[in-house]
Amino acid sequence: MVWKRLEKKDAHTVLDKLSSDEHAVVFSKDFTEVAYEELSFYSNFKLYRLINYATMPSFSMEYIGDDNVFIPLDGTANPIYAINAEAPIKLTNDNVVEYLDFFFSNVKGSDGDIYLIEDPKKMPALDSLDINQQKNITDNHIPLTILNDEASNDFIVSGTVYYGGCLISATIQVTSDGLINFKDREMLLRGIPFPNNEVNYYWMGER
Amino acid sequence: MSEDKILNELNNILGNKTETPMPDSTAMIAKGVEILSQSPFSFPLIELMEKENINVHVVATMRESSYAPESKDIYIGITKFNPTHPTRFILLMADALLEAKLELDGIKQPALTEQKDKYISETADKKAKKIAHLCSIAFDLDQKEHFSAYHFIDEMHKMGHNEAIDVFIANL
Repeated sequence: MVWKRLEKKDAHTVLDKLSSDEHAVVFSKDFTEVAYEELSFYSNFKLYRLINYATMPSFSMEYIGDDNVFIPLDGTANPIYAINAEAPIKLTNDNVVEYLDFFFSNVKGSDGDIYLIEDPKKMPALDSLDINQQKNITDNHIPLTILNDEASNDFIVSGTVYYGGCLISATIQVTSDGLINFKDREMLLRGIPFPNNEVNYYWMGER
Repeated sequence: MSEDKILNELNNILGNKTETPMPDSTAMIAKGVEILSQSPFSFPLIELMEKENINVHVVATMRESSYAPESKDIYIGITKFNPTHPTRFILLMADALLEAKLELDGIKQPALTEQKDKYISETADKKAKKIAHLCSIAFDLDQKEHFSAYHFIDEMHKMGHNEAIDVFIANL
């Protein structure tokens, strides 16, 4: 996926749409860049990224939108499932992995990010691990396979995910309307925390 | 975290009805005001907030953050999947109020079109002012016995301000 920057006039149209919602976050026109990514599984909706450079560090938010409706992504699955129903989503064997990547990029767990590992050598921050851990990941990695269940029209994606400092073998069911469900999961490897991955903070301090 | 918990949580994350309820934003802001009023380094920020009618908004974001796009509106971003600890929230609120204060004082973020050297020096200068002030707030609150459970200095480390707070304390 590649970000494309919107021209100023089009960016202002997006910002005008967003500012019509009194609860929307303020993004000033002078200091905000708007970029978008095409998502092959939606015909009308795109992923929008708004970055305000008036502060340092810059502040960004992402939305799924169709020129009229912009839904902010908040780290939960809810906005994505809502758009899947609205758009509606169109999944194929060719784009189901792109959808999973998009989903896991935008849905977080309390232990940080989830990665679907297509190629262990391209895993984020792999270099931060020692040689033995890198070898363990490569040796334990299960290559990605995609099956299409013609009866239900579901996709069954088997492979390896990273979450919470663990490498997990998983079979993921993706329904034709984009709902995701882990059918089977098995721990392959523990103790591979990546920097800044774990989220430790709770409002009431309990865990 | 146990093996079972990690494996079970994977499915919970995917559900569309499993998010942690967001804490009440009014209560969070009230707690921030209450605690920031207890330090002479942050009380002026609360006074400024009231005098200038600065609106504090709590929004759901992908990652915890603070944002002050305009001096009259500041945002504190917390995550729905793991609503932030009060200490982090209070420091993010202080950070955003400091940003608003600098704006009101005329210390603005230079434009991206500004000459490179000027952009870097002005950005660094503004950032240094803000972080130094944030360190003084965190240190002062941390030293108050009744706030000992908040661990403000530890939180500064977790927020990535470890070098700044260590240098600040070493030079006291």
